[in-house]
Amino acid sequence: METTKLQLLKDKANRAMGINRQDALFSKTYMFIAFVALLLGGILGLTQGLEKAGILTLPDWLTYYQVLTAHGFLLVIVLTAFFTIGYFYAGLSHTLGGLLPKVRKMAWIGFALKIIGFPLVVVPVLSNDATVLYTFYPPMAASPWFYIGLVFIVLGVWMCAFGAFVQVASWRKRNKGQHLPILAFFATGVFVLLFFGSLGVTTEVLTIIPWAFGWTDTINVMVSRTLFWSFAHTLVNIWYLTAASAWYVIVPKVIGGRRFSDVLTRFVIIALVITNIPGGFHHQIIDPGITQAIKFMHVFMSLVIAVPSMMTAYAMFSVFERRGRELGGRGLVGWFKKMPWGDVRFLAPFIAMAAFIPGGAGGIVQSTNQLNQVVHNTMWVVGHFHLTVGTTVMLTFFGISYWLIPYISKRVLTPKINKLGVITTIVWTVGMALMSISMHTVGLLGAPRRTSYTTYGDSATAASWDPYIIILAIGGTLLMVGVILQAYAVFHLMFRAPKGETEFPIAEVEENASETPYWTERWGRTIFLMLILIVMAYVVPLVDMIVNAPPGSPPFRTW
Amino acid sequence: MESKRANREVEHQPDHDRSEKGTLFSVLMVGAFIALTFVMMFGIYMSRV
Amino acid sequence: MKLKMHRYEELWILIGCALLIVFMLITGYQTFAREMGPPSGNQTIDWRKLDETAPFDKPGLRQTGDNEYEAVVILEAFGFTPSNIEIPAGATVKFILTSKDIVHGFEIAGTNVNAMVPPGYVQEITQKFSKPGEYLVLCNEYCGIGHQMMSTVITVI
Repeated sequence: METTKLQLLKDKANRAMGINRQDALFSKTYMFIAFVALLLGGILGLTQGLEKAGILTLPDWLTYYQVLTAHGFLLVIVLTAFFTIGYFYAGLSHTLGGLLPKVRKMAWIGFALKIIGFPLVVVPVLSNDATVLYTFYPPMAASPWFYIGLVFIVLGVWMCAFGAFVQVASWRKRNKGQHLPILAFFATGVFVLLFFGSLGVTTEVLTIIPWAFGWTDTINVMVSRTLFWSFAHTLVNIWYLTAASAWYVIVPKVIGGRRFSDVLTRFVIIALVITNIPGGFHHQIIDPGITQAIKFMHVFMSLVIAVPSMMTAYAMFSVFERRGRELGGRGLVGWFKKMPWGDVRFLAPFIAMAAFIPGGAGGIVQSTNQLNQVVHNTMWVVGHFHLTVGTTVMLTFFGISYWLIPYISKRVLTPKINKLGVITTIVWTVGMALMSISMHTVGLLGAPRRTSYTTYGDSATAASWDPYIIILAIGGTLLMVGVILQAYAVFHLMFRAPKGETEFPIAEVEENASETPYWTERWGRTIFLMLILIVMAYVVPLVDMIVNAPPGSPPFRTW
Repeated sequence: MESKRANREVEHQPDHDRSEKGTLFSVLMVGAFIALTFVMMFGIYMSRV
Repeated sequence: MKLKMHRYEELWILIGCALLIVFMLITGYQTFAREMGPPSGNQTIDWRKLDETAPFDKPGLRQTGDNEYEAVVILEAFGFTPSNIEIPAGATVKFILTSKDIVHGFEIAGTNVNAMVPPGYVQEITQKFSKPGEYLVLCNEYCGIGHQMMSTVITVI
């Protein structure tokens, strides 16, 4: 049991000498795996784009749908989870005075669980026994080991969440009455969502496993879909909150400014945690078995999430304007030009924010009830999420890597790598713009998502999609270049860049900031409100789906 | 009187360093984009009804 | 709970919320007053006994009124029964859909016809076909190795 004095000394040492080696090793491991996943996932994405365009034909032993399953899993489960955990753990280490030994232990156990789960998921996918895509909708049934692998991965994430909770709780005990440092506050929100948000899908998978083994006969298809989307919707907002943490806390420091109102920042985090899970039905707007009223309630809850995003847009512009005016910018938008455009640590997250304008706008409109019929399951949706996760989240993560990787590796960002980062960001932006615009357009023309190359029997309609899919493939090729450049930069910064100390850029609050009221720190109340909303949103339809269920379905293998 | 006029001058002088007009303009542009996106999609939906 | 916002931020949030409310009012009115809501078939069915259960024991197109039709369609990996449907221009068709096996999607490209079709539920969606031509019907929910071949045509004459 450490004394407060010892902990204070450790805090000071932490700040003076940078991250301690043990904490660094943990984050480095996670970052390494995240970017390997990016490389592999990127290659798979390129393969898909070329196949859809009719340029590449896949061999018999590897179908488009296996590639798609792996692409989804590697990028939206592995890359995002490993990056998020590696980043926030470095943040907890830095802002809370170093990770506690028991927290490190929990985190490494979490790592081990994920590593055990990974081959259990990947091997069935490679052997064409789990060609069910990352949504694995029953009654399509993969090998039971695929689902067991997923359970291990989720448990691994939970261990890291619990570790974060222990770290934060310990800090709060030693600092009674104080506000949790802001980056740790963001981390708490994300880990709360990771845990509670995954309870639904964990339940779903635990019912699927005995069914896939043949120990139970049938499964409830609609309940499975609903439980899945209670999680998967939350997941995207988890990524969003992670990216937003860098926007609020890091980017203002990078540009030499101050961060936006502390109380409003904490309010946005709390609002996102509370309103996140209950919007899941906007992924099921055209499903049967859910009433119009309940669907509309979920639409309302989904649109409510736009409010903290609008507050975030205001906060970002405000921080830039304040700093820009400080640097002499004048007029309505003259301050804009004063931003450090040549600094990848600003450029990448800025483009990420800009991409969220069409990404968020499209998101609002496509989930407004019957408007969903125009685009559901078309390539429009693929364009949407390549903007939001592929650009907003991913470019923010890339931007973070240019200071985080040197920080945890005790190296420095050189001007050369910074320039490489700027080039990578531009290549990525052009690639995503080409891909996303063509995807949105061809989706409006009716081209379906999750579909390999086809002429639909020489259909003229399908032929009209061809030029857009070619542009998609061109965009995808550019992205592959971006992936390689980015992966190179990361591994270079981790192992080859000159040694030195890199600052962990945390911005200070604005001067003359008023004291943030203490209610923001009442996580118990936040979680309670979150749970109430989930109950309001899900209990009635789930009970309806269970009580009024049709005969359940046995496993089907259609590939 | 002297001090009153000085006070009035201070009131009328815009605070350049703290102006948030650019921010308001930017977010209103974002709002316009959201509105336009809705109009476009609603238009497509209604044209197919 | 006091949140001090610059009045410009308050203005922005007000405008933003007003936009969202307008979106909900328009679509809400259409849904609840004009029955234009998304396909939400509520009837359940035994997916194992489609051959003996109306209306799926006799899939196909039938006229139900002046320029009004019903199309009873069964979806299964990887086709639609019936396929190649012909409809007169100006007809309003109510599609009555179900799946014999797994979750499919029923989409008519370039139209608002877009519905999820899981097994065990009778899904419904209605569309008026004013313009003659050939409409591509396809499954837009991944359903297996033949997913990209699951299509048919509706010809509006």
